[in-house]
Amino acid sequence: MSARETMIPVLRLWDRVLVTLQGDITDDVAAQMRDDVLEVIYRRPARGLVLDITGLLTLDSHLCFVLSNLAAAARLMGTPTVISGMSARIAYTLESMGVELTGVRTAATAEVALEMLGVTVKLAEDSDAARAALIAKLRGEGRS
Amino acid sequence: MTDRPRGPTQPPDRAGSEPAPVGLPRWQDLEAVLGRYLSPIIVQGVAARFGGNGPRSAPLSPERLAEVLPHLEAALRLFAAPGQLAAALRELEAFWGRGALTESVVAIVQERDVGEARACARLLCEQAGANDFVAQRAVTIVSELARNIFKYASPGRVEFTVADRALRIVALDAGAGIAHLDDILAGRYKSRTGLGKGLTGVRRLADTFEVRTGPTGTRVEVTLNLRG
Repeated sequence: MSARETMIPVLRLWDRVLVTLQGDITDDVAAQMRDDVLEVIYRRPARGLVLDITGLLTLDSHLCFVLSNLAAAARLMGTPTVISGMSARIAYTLESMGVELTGVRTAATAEVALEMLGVTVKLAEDSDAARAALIAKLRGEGRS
Repeated sequence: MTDRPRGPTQPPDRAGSEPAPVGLPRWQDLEAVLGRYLSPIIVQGVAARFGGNGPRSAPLSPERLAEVLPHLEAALRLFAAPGQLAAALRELEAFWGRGALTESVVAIVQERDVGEARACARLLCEQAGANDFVAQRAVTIVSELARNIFKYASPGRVEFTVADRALRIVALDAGAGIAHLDDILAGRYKSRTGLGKGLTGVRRLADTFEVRTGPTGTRVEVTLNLRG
């Protein structure tokens, strides 16, 4: 399989870039992902980059190096990076190995990462109108 | 490129009263051990909780065995007579690793072989009943060693052996050897392409670590206790 066939999608959300790394990632795929992300940021500047590693199976010294490098390059282009979703077993392994992800901020979830990068959430179901409708509905059910 | 993993053949998925393939225990075999040390009502309770839905005569996969053994051990510790506990645990211990892969070799030639080696480590750990943290350490060690071979000394191979619930990993190549080995292990050397942390990381993650390197090749041997 070529790196193209196993390409990792790079999503743009509200001027932020989101990449989710899943499963077993080979060095070629990681390198391709790094280039793709930098290309996307170069084409249209982003206010932040989230690398979500919730589904990642292994994070070893090389992949750490690729991610730190990517974050450093993105920073040079004006885009801060947050890594989210590191599992306990990966965190513990990195710590035991003495490998550090230098120059990268981390967050528990992608949601928190996006918030750290300036995204504030306003949910439709939380609006005054939606709340009023819900209360009216509940009252109606209470009467019947 | 993977050699066919050597190990007992997997059982057919049908249940019956015919004897299980050699090496693969059945639930009734485990129950027989429990029955010698625990009262019938407790054995029944354990069977209801952990015995699964299949017939008692169906062979248990290595993964399934690794999953239930800790529970059975806990039951023995709770309910076996103190004087008999050691003997009971010994009997149960003998079931560890039955039918599981105990040996495998992955040749490292292309980049995807590195992923193959990681997958192999993951499978062996799973079948040996290693917990997630230990398995992660094993897979990360293999990733570092296999990549080193691929990048600097391909072709080579990674050999795996499981014995006494420990995993031995041997990474072999016929490359030009590791220059500056002492500096690398002392943390004084940083490679341009990595953090210079691969090999030192492996040493920190493993329970034992040994490197022999020279102009005709490198051999790294690592062991990891899978009991966690």
